[in-house]
Amino acid sequence: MIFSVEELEAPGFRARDIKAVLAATGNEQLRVNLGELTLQGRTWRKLGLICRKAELDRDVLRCRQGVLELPEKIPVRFDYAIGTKTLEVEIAPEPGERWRLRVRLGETPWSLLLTADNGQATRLAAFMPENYPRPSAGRVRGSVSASGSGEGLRNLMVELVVAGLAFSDAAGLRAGENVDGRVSLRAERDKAAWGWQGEAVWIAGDVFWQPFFGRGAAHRVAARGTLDSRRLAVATGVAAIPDVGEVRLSGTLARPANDLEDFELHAQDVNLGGLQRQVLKPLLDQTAYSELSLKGRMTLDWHYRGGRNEALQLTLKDADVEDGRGRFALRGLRGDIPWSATRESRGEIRFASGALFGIGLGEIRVPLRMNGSRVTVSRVRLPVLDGRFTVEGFDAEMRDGKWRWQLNGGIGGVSMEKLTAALGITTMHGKVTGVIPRVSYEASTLAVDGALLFQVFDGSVVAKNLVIVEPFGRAPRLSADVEMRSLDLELLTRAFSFGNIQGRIDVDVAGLVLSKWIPVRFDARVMSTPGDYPRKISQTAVQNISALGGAGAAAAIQRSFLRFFDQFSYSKIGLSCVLRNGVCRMGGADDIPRTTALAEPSGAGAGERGRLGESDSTAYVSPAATHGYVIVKGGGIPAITVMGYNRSVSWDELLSRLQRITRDNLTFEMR
Amino acid sequence: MRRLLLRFLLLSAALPLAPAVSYGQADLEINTPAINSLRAGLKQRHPQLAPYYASGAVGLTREGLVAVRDANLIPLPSRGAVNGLVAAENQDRNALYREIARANGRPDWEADIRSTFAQRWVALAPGGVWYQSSGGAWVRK
Repeated sequence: MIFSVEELEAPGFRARDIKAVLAATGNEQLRVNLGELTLQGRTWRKLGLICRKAELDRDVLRCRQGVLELPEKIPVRFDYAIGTKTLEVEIAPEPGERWRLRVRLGETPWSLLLTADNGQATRLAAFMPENYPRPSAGRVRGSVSASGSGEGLRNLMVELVVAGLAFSDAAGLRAGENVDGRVSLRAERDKAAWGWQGEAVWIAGDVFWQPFFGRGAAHRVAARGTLDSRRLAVATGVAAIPDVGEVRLSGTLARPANDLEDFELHAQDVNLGGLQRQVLKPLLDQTAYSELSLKGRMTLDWHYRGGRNEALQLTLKDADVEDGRGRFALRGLRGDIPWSATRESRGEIRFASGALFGIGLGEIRVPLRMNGSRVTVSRVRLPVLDGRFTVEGFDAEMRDGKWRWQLNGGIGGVSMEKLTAALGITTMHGKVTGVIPRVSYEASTLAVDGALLFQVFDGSVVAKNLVIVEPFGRAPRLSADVEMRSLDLELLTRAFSFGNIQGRIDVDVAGLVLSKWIPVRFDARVMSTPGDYPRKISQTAVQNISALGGAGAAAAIQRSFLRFFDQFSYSKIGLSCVLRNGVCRMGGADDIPRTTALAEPSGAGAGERGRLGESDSTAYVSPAATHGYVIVKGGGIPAITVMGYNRSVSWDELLSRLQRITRDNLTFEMR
Repeated sequence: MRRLLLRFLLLSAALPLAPAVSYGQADLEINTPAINSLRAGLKQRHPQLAPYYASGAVGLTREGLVAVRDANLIPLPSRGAVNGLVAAENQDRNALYREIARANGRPDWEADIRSTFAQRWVALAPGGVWYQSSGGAWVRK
């Protein structure tokens, strides 16, 4: 007996070139061939079913010892009642694995029940829609039942438990391994819309869902809502994450593009430590904030309407934010930030203490005024060590996705001793007091309008034309002009263990450019401040200044009568450096004309690299008697003049000499 | 001057992939602290990325950057970390191109510098590394 059907079609189903042959005897009592089968958009070709034992008992067709050719050969048995159009199929692809399917087409509504017992999850891959992650390993147990009418599916119920599930999309950006969990879903269609509710519990296993990575620990998501051709709506949803807390969510997605339309999210009393460990740490791995640690509690209400943020209410309780690399820390953080896109609101952030690069910060209160994408802070007084930092008129605005802001303020009463100790650098003395004029940040560039003014070393420092490009980027670039006036050399040299110099200096650094905070270009000049004040320089300082030009001068001093003096008089100090391409072009207070021959001491040291000249109670310390420049010009009794002869010095070499001098604080034994 | 710079780049680009490189002309600012620091960062990160270049998980793009080409080749728990590595590498590479152009007072050269670097990364890469052709297709060297 032969049956042939050219095409069978139902919603989501199509079969073509169906041919069934039923024989009374032989090894293939029933053979069914399908030329093509399409289910939910997926197509298989050349499928076959062979029954070695088939019987037609009244109106029931029974198949025993059947084989499905998919083309993988899978054992199958089924009964088909022709009158009621009821099909019962049992498939056992391998020992211990069993799938049962019962389809009743002869009654209204039609129904379908699929049960799996230790089923291989990979067998479901063929039924997954395109672009969805597909299973590649794991076992599944449970059932899927569905019913419908001629108009299509009406009810759907899923109860599945998975173990050791592995899945992935083609790009590997949505993937899981060794996942244990369970899923339940009930959905019912009313005309064109579905009502649904479901729950998923992720018990164990790893999941990477770009950019998140997580390890299951009884994470649970439950939700209910509706679905139609235009949108997917979640009426209520809750996600429970152990060690973090619960997040309640509702919202809608526009179909078929899956664009987010609206949502409301409420996270009550979230544990920030758990959030950092489970959500943020994998995200921040390999970034500058990979060692960030969070503690405390947070409550968040977030409303999103019509494709844009509408309102946000963030409350922080006793939170600590700490950078493991020691760059910043905020402790005892409390905040109340109510933000709205359409109306003005006021909030506040407080923290009990903090630190920035080791500099201790005291209690602070930041009052915020927010209006749409604009945030303003009228005045903040931040205790810094034993002084304070004041910010006034902070005004920030987000435009085209980028922040721009401006502020002004000042710093006062911070002792240099405490500041340098906190920064772990050479101890300096005095107070830092300064005025910060308008500072603005826009297009990745921070600029200071006017002059930054600080009082240090009993003098003043003024920075003008200060611009920092990409201050928070990988390669910040700073440019500025700096003028320092009347710095007390005694305080300065004491701070840097340079030997003692009494007097005052002015410093001009024009066209300063720092690349990644290291100088690459400037025109610098150091000169004695005009005026009447004591000018003395110690023997150690002379030797250190000389050592900047290379070794040798120290020995020369030792050989002369100057070794009997601890300090000398001078009339002026001058040194200049024009830095270009890593080379410092040096100059001094005066150039020495080539025609001026310096008096040389008779005998000792002539022709050596470090020589000492004496003339009218003035001694000349020079690395070589060639054309040079005066760094310290002698004056008074006993006087000393220090010469420089190296016109070009590598900047790195100059720095290392300075570091050696200030670190070792070379001293000389007087004999 | 422009050709000189590009010739220098041809000599000294892909540092992390080629430990022994030649250095170029002294009158070009290619040794600023920022450039040196960025190059050192790239070199330091290279051993972490090298296995992923070799496996084909990460490839070299035609824009002189790197990209995850096939995440399936990365163990699942490492995928986020490799994403972070790739993002950090690209931040440094972008900053390097920008800084070289800026240090020489020619920000308008950035595109040429990027393009020259992109070619040199590929030329210096060992066989087996995946790169994007000028048409955007992934090709195995």
